[in-house]
Amino acid sequence: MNGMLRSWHRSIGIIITLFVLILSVTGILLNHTEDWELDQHHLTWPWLLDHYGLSNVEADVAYSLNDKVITQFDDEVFVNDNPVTTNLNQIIGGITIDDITILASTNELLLISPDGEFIEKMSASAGVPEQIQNIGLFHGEPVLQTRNGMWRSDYMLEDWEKISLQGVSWSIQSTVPSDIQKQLDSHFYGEGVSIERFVLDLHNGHILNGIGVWLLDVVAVLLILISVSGLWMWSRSGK
Amino acid sequence: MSLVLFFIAFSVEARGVYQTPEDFLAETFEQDVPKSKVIWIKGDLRKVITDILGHKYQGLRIRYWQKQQRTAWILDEIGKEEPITFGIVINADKIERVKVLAFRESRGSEIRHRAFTQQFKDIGLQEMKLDRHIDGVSGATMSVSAMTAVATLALYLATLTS
Repeated sequence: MNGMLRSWHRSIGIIITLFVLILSVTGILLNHTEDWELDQHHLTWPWLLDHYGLSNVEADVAYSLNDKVITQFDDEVFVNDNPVTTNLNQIIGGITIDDITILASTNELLLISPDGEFIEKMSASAGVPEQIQNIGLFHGEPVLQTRNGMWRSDYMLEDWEKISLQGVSWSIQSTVPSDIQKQLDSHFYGEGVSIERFVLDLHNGHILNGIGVWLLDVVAVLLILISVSGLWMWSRSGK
Repeated sequence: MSLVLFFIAFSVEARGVYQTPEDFLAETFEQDVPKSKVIWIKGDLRKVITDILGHKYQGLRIRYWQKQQRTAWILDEIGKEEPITFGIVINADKIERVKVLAFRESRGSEIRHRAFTQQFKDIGLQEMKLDRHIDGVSGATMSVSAMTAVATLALYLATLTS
């Protein structure tokens, strides 16, 4: 009986050694979070960011205009990594006239200054045709394709005449350059995962999501068993 | 259960576009809407607008419509989290009309009712504030603040158009 118990005790001991080490080391680290500023330092390992869902922030649309990258995430519009305005409808195209960036969404034009500042939204009340499908340039003048036909204006964008043109260079989407993508990732998710958060999740098993908690429950049961079996064998060995 | 359904129904009904800016302008100018003009927000004007709103105005210019001494303004201001679109008419430096054109928050839409908005009628500007007190609406404090701020802003901007 004692021989079998000793064999079980030894096996359980080997199994839980790694977990005891992890729990001990992370426990010590968590005791000194403030002393060692673990909440101030961040980890940016790609696999870790992936694990926490902090990577691959994907823009709904992206346009490269006037040496700037315009993106939209839900209703937030960015120039490079700066949020400049909100727009309920998705941007469907953009052009540049006289260094002013003009973005089109279904019923509005959004104007962005050469410095990347939001100027104004222009809608039907300012004379802009509705139900816009795309925006383009024809000999330097803005052209809108709408459900009700094609319209042309000048740089003021206030007077639109209905026309029919061939050879308009329509706006097309672009990809987000990697440096801007990194800045956008940083905007949305900060500097990465704090060491404190990582250590805490290692300690409580949350690093493995739901399974980790159950795994630590099993380890806790094994620790109870090994303690009881150890006490039992110690008490028997004295007799 | 019926009470919950009532509140859900009320909440859904409270959000929405009550009038488009185009319809508001057509109504204001009796179908003869003048061509729009703009005020560029630069230098000191930017500081004044920041003081009125309590935050930086998002944009470099504000559009308005003017016929003689009447001006109409379509202005967005955040209530709690979402922008509320207001239509404001100023006549001879007094508010003629304030209307909520679109409300996107889940609470505070009571400010759209005429019983509330008519408080603004004939209010003027005194030392960059409304010259009359506006009674609040319980549970709509931030929406009331937003309306008060844009009304003040429209009154101030109107002084720049004359």
